[in-house]
Amino acid sequence: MEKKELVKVKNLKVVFESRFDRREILRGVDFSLNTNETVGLVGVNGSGKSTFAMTLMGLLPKNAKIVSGSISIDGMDMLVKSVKRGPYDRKSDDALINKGIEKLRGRFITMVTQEAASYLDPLLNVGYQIFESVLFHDEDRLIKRIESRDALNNDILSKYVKLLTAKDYNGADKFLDENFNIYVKEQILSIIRRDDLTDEDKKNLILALGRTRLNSFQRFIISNRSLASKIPGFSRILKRLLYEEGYRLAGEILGLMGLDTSILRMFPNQLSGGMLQAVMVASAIINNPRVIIMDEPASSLDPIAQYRLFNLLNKIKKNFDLSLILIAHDITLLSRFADRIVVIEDGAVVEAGDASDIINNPSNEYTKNLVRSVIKI
Amino acid sequence: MKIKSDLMKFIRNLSLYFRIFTSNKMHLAGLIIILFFLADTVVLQFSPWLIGIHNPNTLSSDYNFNVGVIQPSIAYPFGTTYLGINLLTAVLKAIRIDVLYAIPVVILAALLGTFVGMIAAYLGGIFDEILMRLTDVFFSIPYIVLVIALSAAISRNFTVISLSLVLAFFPLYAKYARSSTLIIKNSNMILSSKAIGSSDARTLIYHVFPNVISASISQLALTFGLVIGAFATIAFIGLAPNSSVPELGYLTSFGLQYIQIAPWAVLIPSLFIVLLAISLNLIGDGMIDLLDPYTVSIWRKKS
Repeated sequence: MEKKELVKVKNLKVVFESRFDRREILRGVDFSLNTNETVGLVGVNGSGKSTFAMTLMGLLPKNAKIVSGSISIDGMDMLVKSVKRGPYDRKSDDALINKGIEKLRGRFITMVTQEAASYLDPLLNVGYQIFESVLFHDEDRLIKRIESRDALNNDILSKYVKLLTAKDYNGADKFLDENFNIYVKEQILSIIRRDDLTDEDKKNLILALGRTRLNSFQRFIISNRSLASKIPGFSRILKRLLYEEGYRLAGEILGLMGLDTSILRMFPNQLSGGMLQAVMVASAIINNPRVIIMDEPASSLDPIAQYRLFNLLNKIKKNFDLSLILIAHDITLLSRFADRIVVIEDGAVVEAGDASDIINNPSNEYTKNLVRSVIKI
Repeated sequence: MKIKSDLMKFIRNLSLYFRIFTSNKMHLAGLIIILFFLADTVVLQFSPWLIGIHNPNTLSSDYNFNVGVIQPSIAYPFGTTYLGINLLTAVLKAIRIDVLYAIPVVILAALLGTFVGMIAAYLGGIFDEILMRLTDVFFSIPYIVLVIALSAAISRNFTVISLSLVLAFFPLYAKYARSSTLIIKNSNMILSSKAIGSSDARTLIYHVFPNVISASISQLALTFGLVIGAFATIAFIGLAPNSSVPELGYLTSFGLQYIQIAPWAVLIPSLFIVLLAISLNLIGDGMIDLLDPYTVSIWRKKS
């Protein structure tokens, strides 16, 4: 696959202002992320890693201000001159705001944070929270999935399953491309790529796709959905159909991640920290974004759960064609999963390069300390 | 098929909530008392002849000048007061008036207050200042003064009294909603919903509102008691629209003039005011359990 710069940050400067105080948190950070790459961002507490992530996502708190620099995501410039005045500094017309990101958030770039428990709504079940972003970004996807599954031809499906039985995988892939649209394809692929099923189960599940038919009333509502959404009783049925499809989609994502799909209807307080973290990851990847920022995703997990989470990330990277920005204190974990490492100290990049180079020959004193601090067993 | 299974699920949830609610016997007692009050309201509203009442809107049909003041007895279980009013039917009528006027007042005040507080806190800045100073104005006026002023200015009837009580009680909800919105607004939950690209309006409706309203709902029952007390106070100080309105506070103030001869005419209506307030407080307590997802999940696991 050709390499392309997805995220490029140049000379980014961010200050935090209060009535009496003005602190530079980022002092000129340069950063880049290519397709299919994992970049680790290391630094001690307060070095500006999280601020960097928030700046990229355009979620800085009100008293923070981007002073200078440029951020381009997928080749587009994100920062524009702010017309708002700052809360304390009257002369802050020169500040920049990350305006362009609002359209990309949740679609092209998402974020997974630490302590998932506080990031999930306690009143909604986790399934809904996973597929929620599909509802407002890509409702058509849900409709198209329902429609195209309804229009599936059982003969073609069984032909495809026959190809699978004959272990003719190249032929099967070709058949898949020729006969199904992308919405059916993603449903079939989500079954085939699962690790926890036997071949027999997979075939049964694929054949079962052709058996879930709408009744004629539901079909009528789906095909006249712009009208139906205006009539109170009908809009409820339409919403219900969309939600059911959303749960189905969320279940597919969880299945691909190798998790139990029975957690869909549970509430956040019923799940463990590791599970919740996985739920956050699922809700981040459901819209097929290209970049995920992970802000210390493992910091509240025990070592085994950490290891599992990162294995999960590797698996997702393979299945979903993702690039990751991985923020952590812990350089050992990064050494296992990151392609490149960027070390930040006091708001500036002090060292950047291939992961193995940085760990084996750290040149900066700060990085040396970081590597030295790892307890060897 | 699907409808049937949905119905079963609904019934199962309902019985679970009932079991959680009644796990505390005090809550059950509150529920029974309030059910009595509601049953009285419904019967008097739709078929008052069932319990031998002809016109539930006025006391004047109860006057029986031949009877005079009688102690509680078998014929008159609550006794009678001057002009021969049968206190039993009067109290039953009064409960209906109180409940029917208090419910809309509480719901309107809660909706208005929650809306104002939520918008003020979420938008922040100048909006916050303007809206909250406006609510402070209403907060600072005692409700009796507000009721007197508005009924003098507009007209002395129950609609005006109810609307002025809405204005008097909505600041309470605005303050609740504002404080809980401020917490939720800065919570990680809202940050993450922004990170997946949710718009402000959507975040407000789907994430902020349900979390704010659950705090307000538990206050609903408490304010209901306050509003009924307010109605009683207003009638007690003589602001009732006319001299034949069946209202618990009015009955109390009416009986006060004859308290040395007929103490039961004061005690019995006040007892019902106290019962209503206590039961609503108990229900408000029980509601807090129901609205806590943690308690509900524990009970769900048990069953």
